[in-house]
Amino acid sequence: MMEYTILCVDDEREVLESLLRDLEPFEQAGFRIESASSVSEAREVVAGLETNQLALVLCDHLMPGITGVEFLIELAKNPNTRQARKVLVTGQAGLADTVKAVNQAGLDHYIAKPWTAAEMSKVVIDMLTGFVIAVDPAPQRFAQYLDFGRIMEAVREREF
Amino acid sequence: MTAPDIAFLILTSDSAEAALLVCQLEALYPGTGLQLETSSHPEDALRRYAYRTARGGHIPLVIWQATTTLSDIGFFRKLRVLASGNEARLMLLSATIERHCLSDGLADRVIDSYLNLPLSEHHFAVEVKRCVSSYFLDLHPEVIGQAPAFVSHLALHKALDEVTRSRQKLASELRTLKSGALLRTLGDQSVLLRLGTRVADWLVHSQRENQIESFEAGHVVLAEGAANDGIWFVLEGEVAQEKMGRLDAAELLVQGVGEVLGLLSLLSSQPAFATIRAKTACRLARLSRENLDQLLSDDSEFLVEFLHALLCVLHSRVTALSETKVELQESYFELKQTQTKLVESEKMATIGVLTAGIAHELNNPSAALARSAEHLKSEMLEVLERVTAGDSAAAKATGSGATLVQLGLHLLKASESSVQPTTMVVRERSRAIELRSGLRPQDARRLAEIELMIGQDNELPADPQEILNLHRYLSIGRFLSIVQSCSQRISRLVAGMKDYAAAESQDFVAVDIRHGIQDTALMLGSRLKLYVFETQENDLKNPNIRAVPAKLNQVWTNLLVNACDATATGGSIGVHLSNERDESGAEWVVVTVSDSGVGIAPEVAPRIFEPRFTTKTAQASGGTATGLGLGLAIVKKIITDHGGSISFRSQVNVGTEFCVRLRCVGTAED
Repeated sequence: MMEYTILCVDDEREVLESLLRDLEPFEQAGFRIESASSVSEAREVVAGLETNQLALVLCDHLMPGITGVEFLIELAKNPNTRQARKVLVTGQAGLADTVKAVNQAGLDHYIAKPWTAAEMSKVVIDMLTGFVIAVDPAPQRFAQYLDFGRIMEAVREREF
Repeated sequence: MTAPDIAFLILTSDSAEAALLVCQLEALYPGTGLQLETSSHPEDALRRYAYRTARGGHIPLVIWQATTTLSDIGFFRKLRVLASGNEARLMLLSATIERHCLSDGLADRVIDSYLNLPLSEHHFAVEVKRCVSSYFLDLHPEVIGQAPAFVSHLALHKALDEVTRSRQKLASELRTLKSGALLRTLGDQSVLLRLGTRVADWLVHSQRENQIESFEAGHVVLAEGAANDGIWFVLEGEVAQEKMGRLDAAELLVQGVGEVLGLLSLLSSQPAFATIRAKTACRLARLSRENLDQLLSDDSEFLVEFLHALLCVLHSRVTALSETKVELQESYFELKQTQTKLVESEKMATIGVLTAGIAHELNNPSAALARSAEHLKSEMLEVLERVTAGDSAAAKATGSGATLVQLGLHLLKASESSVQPTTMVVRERSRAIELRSGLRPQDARRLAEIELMIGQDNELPADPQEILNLHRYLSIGRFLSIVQSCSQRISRLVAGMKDYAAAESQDFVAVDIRHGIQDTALMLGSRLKLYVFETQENDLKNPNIRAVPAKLNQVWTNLLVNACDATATGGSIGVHLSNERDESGAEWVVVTVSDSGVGIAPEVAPRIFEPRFTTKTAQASGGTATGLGLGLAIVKKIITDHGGSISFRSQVNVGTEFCVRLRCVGTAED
């Protein structure tokens, strides 16, 4: 059974640590949480993953030398990570960047800083649910941690 | 009217030939009363010629048939002298003629026509007609009406064409002359003066003296918007035309003696465009519409003069208007620029006030946050110290290792350290632990973090639950540190903001140029983060200048933002500070802002400091972030106000370098 990864990218340590704490409940659901404080580090993490192992990326926008949107576009073009859900976590992306992210990177969601735990949790559940339904052969194993109704419905449809 | 006396004279010694010629000529001009005189001797022919022409008769043609070889054309020469006006056309018919004789005759225009014998009847007819036609057309056109048959149609046509052409040419020359003459006199006020006098004379002459009125200064002759059915000629004094503006009446123009008033509104049947007011005491002659019509019919020359006057008035108005328009455009442009500057400085002032307010409001909570986090930590440590005091005693007694709480306390203290393991180090350690112990990833990560914080020497738990519990101490420490460091960051930003805006002060003060640049870089932190940004201050020995800090910050902001806009993510942006001395020995600070961006195209380079010149159009930026084109104009203005200078170098696709020079104060030791 595939072990899925959630990748958090932010150049600010403080933000990254806070984000990790908010994601801890998903470790219980069996997701491995990786954090990277730069895009190049994130690339290394991604390189060590198998196809479709990356389930979700939560990425800051303004980082040294490269924008989050550019990194998300990279992931969208990479067949190994195309299926990953892509979320921008930022307070600084302008309209043009966001439009570009939606159009070219298939951006799935946009979380404005500062976020709340409830909001973050809701978005991550939503994203992961969509991912496991699309990718996992037996998504019901995540049902109790994620969106139970949606997963079970998808499973029933699949059997039907 | 009697038919003109027209005869041809024929000289030939051969009477048979003479009869033949007479027959042919009669056939050419039947029923015209043409007389044909033949003579066999030159002297006789000359006499006849003299006799006839002296009595007003016309001899269009003299034909001389020479039977022998001709070596002398004395007869024709004598004839020419006799008919001093070159009258008759002279035709020579001969079988043989000496070449020199013929060529001289033709060259001296003694011979008009020459035909070889034996005679071709057709050629003879053509030549006769040509000669006779030319006689009448060229010399006696007045006779043509009475003797039309003598002029051939072809010749007549040609002649008429010629007349038409020359008439057209004349007409066009006349037009050119006339228009030139008009233009030359358009600026001539004497035309108007003359016209005014003429109108006044006519009014007096036709018992309309009451139409000539005198007005006191200030009297309104015609009010703006009133219906107008006449024109006035200024005979004495001055009048002013005034137009009511939104607030006040503006004087449009002042008109003196000889000027015409009300012409345009009368002709266009519009209400008066402007108020006509006597500027000084004045005397005006008024022509109502009816009187104008009357005058025009009484005096035909008046129309011409009136039209001329009309043109003069229009000409002067158009000239004045176009000058006014240029002036207006210039003042409008200046006003617009002033307004832009005002709006911009007003905006900056508002932003400054707001920033100061926000900074103040942010300062208090962030200070409280920082203090609280610290207090929380010390309280926490205090509590844990007390709890573990008993434990340590017990541990000493039993000789066992540190308890969980003791380890936790240790972790909490250690987490204060500003040196934190990187995410990469944590990941590697975590993988190693996973492999070594078979712990789940999250437990391995926690253990890795604990190990990295307090070392492996301590006896650490292996049970996931205990790892989690121990890790909580680390988390508490870390989160408290984060609260502290982040509130410190907010305080720094707030301080930077206050310095940056410094809204209250527009005064020149002594400042360290580095501070403003550092503040600006801090404010632009999130944008500059995308580039390799470096500030080089090593060459700067004397950073002291006199400046309005908030204004100067605007300069650095504009230059840095422009650099960011021009440079692709990951490119480099640099600020270099140094000192230099000019010829007079004065010390300057030189600030160079460079980027590795797209550069400035040579064709726009001369315009970049112009207000409202921008390349940041919506199109260029893909639909957003448009520039007003004010940034560099404002930068230049501020630098100039500071007594400094700004220059730039740029190369397309290589980069741009803006260089600002500001005068130093004091010495490096200050």
